[in-house]
Amino acid sequence: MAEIHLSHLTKQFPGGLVAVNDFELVIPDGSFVALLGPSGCGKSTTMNMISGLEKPTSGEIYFDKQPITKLPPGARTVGFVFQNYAIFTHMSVAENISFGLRVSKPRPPAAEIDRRVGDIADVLGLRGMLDRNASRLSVNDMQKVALGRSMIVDPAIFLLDEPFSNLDAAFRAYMRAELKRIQHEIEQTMVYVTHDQVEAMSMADHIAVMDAGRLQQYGTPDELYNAPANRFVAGFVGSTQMNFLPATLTLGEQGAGNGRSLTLGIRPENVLLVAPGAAGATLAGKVNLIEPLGAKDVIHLDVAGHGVRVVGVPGQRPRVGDNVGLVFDPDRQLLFDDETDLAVEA
Amino acid sequence: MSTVEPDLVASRASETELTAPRRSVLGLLRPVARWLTILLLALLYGFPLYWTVTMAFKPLDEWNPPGTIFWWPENWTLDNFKSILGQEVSGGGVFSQGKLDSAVPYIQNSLIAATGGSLLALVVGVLAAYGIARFRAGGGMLPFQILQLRMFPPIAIIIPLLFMFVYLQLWDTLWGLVILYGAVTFPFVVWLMRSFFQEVPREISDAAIVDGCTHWGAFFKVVLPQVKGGLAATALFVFILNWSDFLIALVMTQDNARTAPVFLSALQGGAAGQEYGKQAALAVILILPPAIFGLAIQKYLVRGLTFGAIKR
Repeated sequence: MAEIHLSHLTKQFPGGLVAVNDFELVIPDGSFVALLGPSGCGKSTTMNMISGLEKPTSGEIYFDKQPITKLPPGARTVGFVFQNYAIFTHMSVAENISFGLRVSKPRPPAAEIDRRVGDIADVLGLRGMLDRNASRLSVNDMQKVALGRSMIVDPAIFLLDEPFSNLDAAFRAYMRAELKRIQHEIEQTMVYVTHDQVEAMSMADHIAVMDAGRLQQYGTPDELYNAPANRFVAGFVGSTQMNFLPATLTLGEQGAGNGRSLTLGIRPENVLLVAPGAAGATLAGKVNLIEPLGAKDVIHLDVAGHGVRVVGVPGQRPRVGDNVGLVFDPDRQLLFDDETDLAVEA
Repeated sequence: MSTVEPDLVASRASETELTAPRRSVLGLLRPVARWLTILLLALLYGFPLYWTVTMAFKPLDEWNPPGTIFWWPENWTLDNFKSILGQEVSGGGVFSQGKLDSAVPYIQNSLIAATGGSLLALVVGVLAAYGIARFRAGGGMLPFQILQLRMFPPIAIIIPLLFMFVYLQLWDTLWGLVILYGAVTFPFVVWLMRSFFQEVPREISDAAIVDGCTHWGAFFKVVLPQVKGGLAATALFVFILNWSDFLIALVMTQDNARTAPVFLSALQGGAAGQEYGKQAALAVILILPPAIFGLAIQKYLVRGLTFGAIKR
């Protein structure tokens, strides 16, 4: 159990690339936090610094208020699960899981190791395959073994770097739920790196969105979804991307900021399609393309040269080429300053 | 495949018509030609081995009598082996009298020099290869700088080396040979092992380190076992190179450290000329160590030689 505090963390690689830039984050004890961002945003580098595999250029990392930046990885008691499992294929499943105990000093007695391997195998459903050679496992079981190997040393912190992205879709969904269950059971701090916002939203208590080495926003999934701090977060979170349209601020009387150029953001599910020219329709558009997804349709519209996506109900599916009117839910509109990209109060 | 362009189909059809009458002849000739080629190649590679092994069991008068060829030993004998291993041969005639020049010490020298040199090259080379593959030690050019050690024929530097080794009092010593063999095969080890290490995901060693290993611990417990096939293949390759060296040992040794290949080439008597039977017997003995080594590590070898072929 540990709280993680990343304080002004910066990592600059030889060659000048700043992967992580003045990163500030507090991950509460026992919480499940996702680091979310596009590839190359610095999330994996952040993980490597927490684990100790990379040394920060500047800044400090605290576990439970204790600075650990100078500790070697093995002394930090973190569990790390890698995207490609990093299974030791020359060992059996049991040898893989017990690895952390077998290299620890002092090494626990064999009976103790066996007992703990057994406990973990039960939690993960690996009991029947402990003697099997790890290279013969399915990808799905390999990832379970990797998870088990990270659990054996009873780490205060679990770090998972895109652990499920190589799994097939059905097993990925199962493992997400399974991981969440395990996290509730062991109540350990978990940090989860992913570029998949659905994965982050569905699993994490809090999400830290990163882009270009900087923290963009840190909040609950609901906060990120409903009140994104800036245009990047608004565009990155949400499975059908938010629509952005140019807008101009018009105040009733002459005042500061009148005529300021803004961007209006509205999620596809907050736009209603009506007959063209119907009352309340603020914009008109033409249907370009329809993606039927079963439970909903994603309708691509052309609105005065701008692409707009709308979530439609399959029962009321328009046809390609139809002219439609658009009604925006006024409570759900967001405004972003074009100069700073930050959200502004409507 | 039903959407093949029509003109493509047409051209294929006409081609078939043209070649149709010859196909039956070709169809017969092809396997015959293939088996002939295989037979020819097998003879080409197999015959020297056959000739050497049978020669080793031929008595003196069957070696190369004028006007006759003994394709098969008529009077099988172990005298060649006995003589080469330093045992008195009864009735050896003038040719073996007073010539109890046993090959055993030279075989010993060969074993020590080739094993020692290979071990030296492997220890230094494997560590260097890991440093290069995992930590980019020495920058991008280091592998090529190491390889350029092999970019000229050894004969080009053997004379300066000779002077150097005489000065260092390493000439005609086993230590000197071990150092030379290690240095000469070191670039091969680096290049072979580097590619094997590159196949091991970095996360493998990272995982071991997070679990509490040092870099050394991760290397020995996790990374090295993953490349043991490649290591076995590299070890065998390097050992064969060192074991079969002639040029370096010829120049760099005299009596103390002379190796078996050099001794073999010198096996000639004033009266008998080339002592073919003894040479063949020694050659058969010299085939054994690499062959035994190869068989012993065969299990790992197949994996090592096909390592890069498996897409993971």
